[in-house]
This record gives sequence, C-alpha cells and structure tokens, in this order.
Amino acid sequence: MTVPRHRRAQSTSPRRWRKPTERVRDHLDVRRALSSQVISLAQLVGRPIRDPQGTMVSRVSDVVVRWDTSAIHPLVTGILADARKGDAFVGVRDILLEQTGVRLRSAKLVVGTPVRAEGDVALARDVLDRQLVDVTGVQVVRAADVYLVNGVNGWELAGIDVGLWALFRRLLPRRCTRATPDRSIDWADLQAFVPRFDDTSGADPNHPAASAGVTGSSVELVSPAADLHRLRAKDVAALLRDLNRSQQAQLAALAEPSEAATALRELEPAKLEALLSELDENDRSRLMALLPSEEPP
Amino acid sequence: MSTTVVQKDRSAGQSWKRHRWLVRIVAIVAIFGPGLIAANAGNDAGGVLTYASAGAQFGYRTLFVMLLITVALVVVQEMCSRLGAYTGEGLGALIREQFSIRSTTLAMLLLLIANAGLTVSEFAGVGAAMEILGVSVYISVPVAAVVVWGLTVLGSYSKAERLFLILGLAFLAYPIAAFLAHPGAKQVASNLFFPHFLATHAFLFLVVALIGTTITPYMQFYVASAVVDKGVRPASYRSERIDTVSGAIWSDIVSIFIIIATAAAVGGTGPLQSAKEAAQALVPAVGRFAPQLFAAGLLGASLLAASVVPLSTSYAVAEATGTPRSVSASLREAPLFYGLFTLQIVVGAGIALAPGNLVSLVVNAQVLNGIITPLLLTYVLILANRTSVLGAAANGRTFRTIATICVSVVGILSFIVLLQTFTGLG
Repeated sequence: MTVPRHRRAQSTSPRRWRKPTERVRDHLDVRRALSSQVISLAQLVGRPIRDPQGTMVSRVSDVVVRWDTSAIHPLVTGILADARKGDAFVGVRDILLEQTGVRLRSAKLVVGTPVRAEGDVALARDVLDRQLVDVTGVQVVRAADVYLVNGVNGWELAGIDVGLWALFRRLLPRRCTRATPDRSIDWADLQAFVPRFDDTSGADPNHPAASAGVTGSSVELVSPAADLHRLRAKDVAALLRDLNRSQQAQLAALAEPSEAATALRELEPAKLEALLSELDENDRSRLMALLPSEEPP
Repeated sequence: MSTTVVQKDRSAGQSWKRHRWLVRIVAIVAIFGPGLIAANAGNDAGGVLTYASAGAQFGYRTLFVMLLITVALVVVQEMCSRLGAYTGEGLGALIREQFSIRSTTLAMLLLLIANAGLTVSEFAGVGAAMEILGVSVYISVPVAAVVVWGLTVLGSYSKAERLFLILGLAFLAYPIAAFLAHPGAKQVASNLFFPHFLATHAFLFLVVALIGTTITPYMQFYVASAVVDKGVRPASYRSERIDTVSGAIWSDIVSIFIIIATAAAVGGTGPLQSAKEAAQALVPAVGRFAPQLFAAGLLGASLLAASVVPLSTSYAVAEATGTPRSVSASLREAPLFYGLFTLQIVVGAGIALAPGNLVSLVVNAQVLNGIITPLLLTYVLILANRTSVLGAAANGRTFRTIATICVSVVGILSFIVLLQTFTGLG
C-alpha cells in the first residue's frame, strides 16, 4: 500500500515536529506553575526578614514544622530568625512566607527564644541534607531540597527533592535559579530521622544545625507509621545497607519483627552486634528471640 | 647406617649454607610477621615508584621526612577511624551533613581530582610493569582498563583481587633486599633520626610527593568507611585504634625499606628514568630475577588500586549526593556511581598513554595528591574537633594542637611547591 502524496507531505509537516517541542513546553509550563506555588527551603534559608516598611530586620535561619500523626503533611508553625545570640522564634501567624524572604505582618512583634516542643522539627537542621527512608520506593534518599506548599490549613511540608539539579542549583547564585521541583518525593512516602526529643547530649547551643542526626543526639523515626510494617525482609536488608548505625537500629526496631530478623541475619556478626547495641533492651530481646542462636563450637 | 646419616647431615648443612639467604628471609618474615604483609597491601604503584624515586634521587636523605610523615599519618588515620567508629558514617556523608553544600562540592571535587591523579598513576604502573616484561604500553594499558572495568562492573572482582594481592606480595622482597644490600646502619640511623634536608626545589617537590602518596586523601575516606563496614562501635574502638596506629606504622616501615633498598642500590644517580632502574634495588634479594619480580609486584599493586581508587571515589561522591551506590545496582539505577567510575578509568588510562616518562608521571600525580591532601585534611580536622559530631571523643586540646600542626606544616609545604611550580622560583 502506497501512502498518497498529500498524506506523506502532511506526515512530514511541522506538526509532527511540534509534538516533542510542545511536550517540552508543557513540561516547562507545569514546572513553572509548580515553582510559583512551592517554596524551596534551601532557597529560603538565609533570605531577609523584613518589617512592613520593607526594612530588613533579620535573616531566615530555619523553618519549624509540627509533627502530628494525624496530618500527612506537617504544618509550618513558624520560622527561626537569625538573632545576635542564637536564634529567635517567630510564629507563622505573624509572617508572610514568600520565596524571596519573609515579611512581618506587624512592626510590633513578639519573638521568643526557641524552645523545642515535642513534635517540633527544624527542617534545615533535621531534614535538609539528611538521609530519609522512601518507604514506597524502598530506598534511602538524601534531601537536596525541601518544599513547602500553601495548603488549606496554611503552609505545610509537601515533600523533598532528591534530584541532582536540586543540589546543583544550590551552588548557583539565587537570583539565577528558580525552585522548580526536579525529582520530588511526597512527604507521605517518607520516613525521616530526627534527634530524639529528650536527648540533648550532643546539642551545640551555638550551632543547633550541626547537632542533628549524628552521634551524641540519637535519632528516631518521626512517624513510625504502619508503612514500615509493609516492608519485606529484602526491603529492610536493602535499606539497612545505606543507613548509619543508629538509623539502622531505628529501622530494625520499627519494621515488622520477623521481617527485620530475617534481614538482620544477612549482616556480618560484628555489624549485627553493633546494631543490636544501639537498641533499647525491649527491642533487642524481641529481635534476638527471632534470630538463630549461635551454634555451639 | 650411621655414616649415611652423617653424610646426609653434612649435605643438609651445606645446603643451608648455600641457601643462607633463604634462612634470612624466613627470619625476617618471622620477625615482622603479618603486619608487614597487611601493610604491603596498602602500597600502590604510586607509592612504590615514589619511594624508589626518593631513594634513587636523594639516597637516605628523605628518611627523616618519612619519620615525620609517619607521625602525621598516625594522627590523620586515627581521626578518620574515630569518626567512622563513633558516627557509623563515611566521610562523604559526614561532610555533606556538617558542611555547606558549596564546601561539600569543593571537597568532592578535590577528592575526584586527587583520585583521578592516583588512577593515572595506577595505569602508568601497569604500563611500566608490562614494559619490563616487553609489552607495549599501548597494548597493556587499554587492556588493563577494560579488564578492571569489566571485573568491577560485572561483579567478579573479588576473585581477581586475591590474585592481585598475591602479586603485590612481591614487594615484600624490599625489606629483605634492604638488609642484604648492607646499607650501613650508622648512615641509615643518622638520616632516619636527624634531618639531612636539601634546600632545593627538587627535594621539596619529592617531599610533597612523599606526603601525597603516604597521607593520601583516598586513604582517609577508605579508613573511615572500612571502620564502618567492620561494625566498629565506640565501645570497641580502643582495639581498633591499636590496629589503625600499628597499620599506619607498618605501612611506613615498608616504605622506609623501599627507600633504603633503592638508595643502597642506585642512590644518588638522579631521578629514576624507568621502572627497570627501580627494580635494581631487588637484585640483592632475588638476583637476576629482580626485574620480573618487580614487574609482577607493580602489576598486582597497580591493578588492585586501579579498581579500588575509582570505586571509592564513586562511593564517596554518591554518598554525599545521596544517589544509589552499589556495584550490585544496574547501570540504569546508579548512573552517577558508574558514570564516575567509568570516567576515572577512561581518563586515568588515557593520560597514562601520553608519551613521556611513566615514573615522573606517577611522581607528579603524587605531588597533586600532596597539594590536595592538606585541604581535605582540614575537613577531617574540623569534624574531629566538633563535639557535636564526636561528643566526648572529639579531639582534646593536646591532640588538636598536634593535628593542627601536622595539617599546617603539610599545607605550608604544598603551598610553597605550588608557588615554586607556577612562578618558576626556587
């Protein structure tokens, strides 16, 4: 069957070539639309805080969200402003959040010394650049950026970006870049490790951002939801490979015990011993009961 | 009956006299034991050729430098090992979490450059070894690149690794050769414990190369990761510290023997022109088979490191960027990991094929490492000083002072060499 001349001409018309370009344009439009609706935490930190007259009074040091097990996306409760002696807390009701900075609603503002309440998480300190568990994708990821969106109940934590572009744009001058999501993951799919609320042993009062998620301030998974129970032994084993010791212990303690025990059997004895030593007595004995006892020599 | 026994005994005695060198070898190996063997595994092509160059060019004069480098190596390795044991994280991840994104990028770029330089020297080592055996560089280096890439990516590297390690044991002939060459204990001791520096650019250049090849940035990342992999905990760190410190000392003992053996054989003849010259140092130990034994050792050490060095760079960068990192992942799953690995192999092998003296190419790569070393050491020092990272195990005042002096001295020497190289002064 031969194709009629006019059909052949039509098939090579610009229309055929416009398709990919249109697709790219659509893609860019979506990204632009998204970027106008989300705030990138990496781009926001360090931006000016201005009073209603436009005078800069401080700079954004961090954004605080409240972990609430009933909410999928934690709500923003306020920001930490860079003050002369440490940080000052400003509630979300007193500010207008914008990508280019923060504007105070009133010239008369009451700021408080930040006191971490149970469930409070400082995003730049505890989430940005830290390892998280993507439960749906079964992978350990590192947050290259954190996105906030203005939801029905106010600003909330939407998700993170794990793309290399998100990392790369942080190297560029801020005015040259737009916070367009690259490889974003919904917060609903993630489990984050944050410093234990009752643990202040490693806290550095002058540099609070330096003391999160590392030795001295042990970590806990912030919402030990049923998601972790979905993980099978091979998933747990794959995740354990990329986590550090205290994170491994947290995951092993919160995953389904029989699946966790099967995954732990794959670890070398020294690594297993190190992991078990991080667990509290209850979790340790629960897991050890499921592990095969050492064979007699 | 008794006559036969006596005759047998006599012949046995004569045989032992004939093989007196064998008795010495057994005695030396028994004295230095497994530590020496383990330390030898850490000596790559860059190290062996740089130590041999030092011996050939300046005789025993660099021995005192090696003593100072050993102190610095112990301090640095201990800090890296402590960071791994107390945080359970590699240096790549720690740098990402503790420094700004720009500082992290700088650290990863420096590591990438330093390790790319090392990879060049490993492929140059393959070329130099095979040249001794009569194989052209233009055949041996591309074949080695394909073999190393294939073995690592296809996952059968662990079997080949054993063969490379066994080949690398050939360098254990150096301590034996150093003894058999009768270097003069007084002269060696005087150069080892008292400075005999030369105020020339060539001497300083080689000192920085020695620093670069001994306190190499790759080793800092490797030590921290190895400690994490072993599952070392703060509670069991004390015994790990003894291992780390003794490993660093043993490693430098092997290096010192290479310098002594080469200095005794070809010392003062100027810079090494070829790997064959370096092999002369083994003649007292193995006679006419010295070039072949040296070639086998160099080939084993080069092939071993040609895979491990690019692989550790890929691990560190992927760890810092948070992208998939595993040789068991597919190319599609871990594009950055495999992309970096492949890039280093291609660039390393490509530069090693450039015409010129392979030994000086290797030494230049070590100088590059020496210049980068103090910059990356600064990151390690800051991390080990932070109580927020190490808690009570952070550097104390005395250790902090010693570590700062070590990093500063290395930094100043590297800066002078850099300045001299670019301005032509000195």
